[in-house]
Amino acid sequence: MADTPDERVVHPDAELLLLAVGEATPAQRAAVMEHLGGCAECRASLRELRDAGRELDAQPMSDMSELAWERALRAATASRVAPAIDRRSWRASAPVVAGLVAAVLLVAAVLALSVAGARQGREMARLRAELHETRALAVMAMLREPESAQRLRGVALGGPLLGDDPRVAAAFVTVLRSDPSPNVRLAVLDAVDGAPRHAQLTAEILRALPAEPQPAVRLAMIELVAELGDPGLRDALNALAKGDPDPSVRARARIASDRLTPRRPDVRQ
Amino acid sequence: MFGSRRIVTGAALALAASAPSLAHAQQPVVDSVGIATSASGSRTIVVVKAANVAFTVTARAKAEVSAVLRSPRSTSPNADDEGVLRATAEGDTVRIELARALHALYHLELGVPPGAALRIAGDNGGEVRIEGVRGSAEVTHSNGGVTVLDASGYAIVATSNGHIRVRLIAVERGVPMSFITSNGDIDLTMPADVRATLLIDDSTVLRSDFPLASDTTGTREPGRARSRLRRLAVNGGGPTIRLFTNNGIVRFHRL
Repeated sequence: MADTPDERVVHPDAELLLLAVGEATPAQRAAVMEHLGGCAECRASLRELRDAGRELDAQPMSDMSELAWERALRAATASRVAPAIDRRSWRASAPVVAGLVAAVLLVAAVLALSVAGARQGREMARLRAELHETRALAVMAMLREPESAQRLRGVALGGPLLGDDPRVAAAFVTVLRSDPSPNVRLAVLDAVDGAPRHAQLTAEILRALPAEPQPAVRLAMIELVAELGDPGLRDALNALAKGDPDPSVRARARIASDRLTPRRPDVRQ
Repeated sequence: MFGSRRIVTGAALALAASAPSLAHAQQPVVDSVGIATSASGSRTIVVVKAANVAFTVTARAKAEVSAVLRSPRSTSPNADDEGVLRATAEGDTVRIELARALHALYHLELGVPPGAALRIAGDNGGEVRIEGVRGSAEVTHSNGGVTVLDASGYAIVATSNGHIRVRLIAVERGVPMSFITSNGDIDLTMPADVRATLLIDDSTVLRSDFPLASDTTGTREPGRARSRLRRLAVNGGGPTIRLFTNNGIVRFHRL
């Protein structure tokens, strides 16, 4: 199967969800694994669903108010997802947002089981979009929380969206430039490290590099910038190699710059 | 919720004399403040921002946040040092800051209610030592080691030059943690049943009491160079614990 979007391709949405929640039979698992080999879209969906599942597993019960639980449970047993979730309430509290993201996953799984036979592709697409939107909004809310721990959770939740949601990418750039915690800034770089290659984001990292106060974060920035392999970055790296106050950063910049220098072809006489 | 007051000189000296940290007791007290809190210990958030100080934080039985600033041993208190500590309270959060910059290494002793959540931002100081508070701890520091003993919930620590030593007696589910130092060892102790995924650079030496399993989640897309990061699952995996040291080793102990 080609690794390109094709509307005629039938995606095994229901089996994908069953796999994500650990309920697929061996036959379903084998079929989905074969499909995943050629379908980037389903691979991304599976990753997203598993991340949301982990978030659900990790969510402390104490973080969710009784009202939020009531809503989440009502949503999980409703026939439609979107109307059951009151957006005004979950914008107010990041932990509740995270809980409701997980609730959307549950609803999606429930609906998948109920519609598996009917293959209601459009409904599944809408659910995917709803899950993505909820998750993106949760990420942006969490990145504004005063506790570093909540912002770290926001980065973890937003990492898988980096490749296809410019709002999340922009929020990550803001964190990189202005978050007071080096731990959160490094988490953003780790998320970029695991995301699909993102040239614009890498350019923003290069811009933020000279102002970054924490050497550990500057080291991670150099690695990501150098990975682009663009010889045009050599001047910036050379400037760091000469002028950075930290010796380990200077050394790393020098190594990265050398890697970008095109090798002369061997001349044999 | 809070009552704020500046402790008068006599009371300040009494408070300083009763401080459990005696290592710096010979240094003269230059200023002190105290804020009573009616919030339960676990709900009190203590935010401290101070450059050029070493910190010692301990739990007190009473519902009060106190701060005692001591001058370097060689420096006697003078009139300029009075009123250098500033304490404010809003909601369940107590903030302690310096009213002006210090030009030598002072020592700040904090007393907080048991279970208080700490957020400490230091710069160019000596050691940060937090002991027995049994709440969460976030510490951002530079040029000094950080020791957090018997915290509960989570810890997040960054320092540019110094060791990190953290012992958590209980871990809050679902909360990522991160420990960063450019130059120094990281020594982490966690409960035996902690579920986490360690994220660590390929070149960093890691010694672990826990069995670790390689986790391929987040593997890069085809065509990109292999990531410099390793993901290692502890007890099946869980929220990320980021460990970064550019010049040192990481030890991960079981409580």
